[in-house]
Amino acid sequence: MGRQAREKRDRRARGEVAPARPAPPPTWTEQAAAWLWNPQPIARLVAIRILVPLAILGFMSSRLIHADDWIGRSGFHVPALPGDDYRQPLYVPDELPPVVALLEQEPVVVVHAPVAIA
Amino acid sequence: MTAPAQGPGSPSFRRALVVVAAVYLAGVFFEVAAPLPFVPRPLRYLMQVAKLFPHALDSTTEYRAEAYYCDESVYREIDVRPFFPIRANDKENRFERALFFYHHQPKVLRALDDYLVTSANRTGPPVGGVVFLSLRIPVPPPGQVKEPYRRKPLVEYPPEARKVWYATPSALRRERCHEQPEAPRGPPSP
Repeated sequence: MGRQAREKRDRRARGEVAPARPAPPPTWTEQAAAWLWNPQPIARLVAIRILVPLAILGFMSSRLIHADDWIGRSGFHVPALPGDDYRQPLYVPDELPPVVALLEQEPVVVVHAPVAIA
Repeated sequence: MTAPAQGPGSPSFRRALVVVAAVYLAGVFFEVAAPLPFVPRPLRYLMQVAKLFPHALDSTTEYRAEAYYCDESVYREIDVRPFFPIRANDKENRFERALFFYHHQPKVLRALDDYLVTSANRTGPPVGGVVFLSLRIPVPPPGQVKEPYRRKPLVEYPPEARKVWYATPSALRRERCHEQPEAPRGPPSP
């Protein structure tokens, strides 16, 4: 009788439960699936939600300060091109929607009416 | 230990996202290998990201402009950077991009002409026309030290480095400058 068989017989005699076998290490496909599909800590998602808008704002900041030139009417815009031109997949005409038009920095002209002094 | 985050939407929605990603990657591949004409243009635009720079360049190209000053009746270089303030000091500004993509497109060149003349006349001496040209600046061979970039005036470049792409039609230039039209040339006198 071998050593393992003797140990098993002795455990049974003592009424003990056999120790659980250690789980086999995960294969690379299981690791990849876990990386893709397992739930991630919520803190990671919170960090992404904070950092991504800041990164986008930083990237766009040089354009945002010239919004009138960028999407308003004061800058140069390529006119509508005829036909199927790969350089212009979508033409946005000059008439801007009101929300975008708010970004235009039109000069404000203040007219002072003459005041009659009694 | 923080609570686990849930993925976006249901499992079926997430599988649909995988399908969308696979279609996009296939679109990027086919846009280079064999463009699919039935894909809408805005989508094709987003898929044109592969094989953008297949060859090394031996020179860089800069675009410049000369303006015709009505008072002096001369063409002189005009600094266009104040009129294209977004990334004015690099090649990502709108003037460079417009000429890079549309230097063969008369409609765009004419619109750029109108914009530049109008903008220049708002801030400086009257301008009647423009000339758009490119400069081909050789890149030194690998290993050779290149001096840091400095925006040199146009006159410092040899004539062979320039290539003119557009000039305001003379009739329009004269009209803007309120000049008298040229007298029609008669037959040469004997």
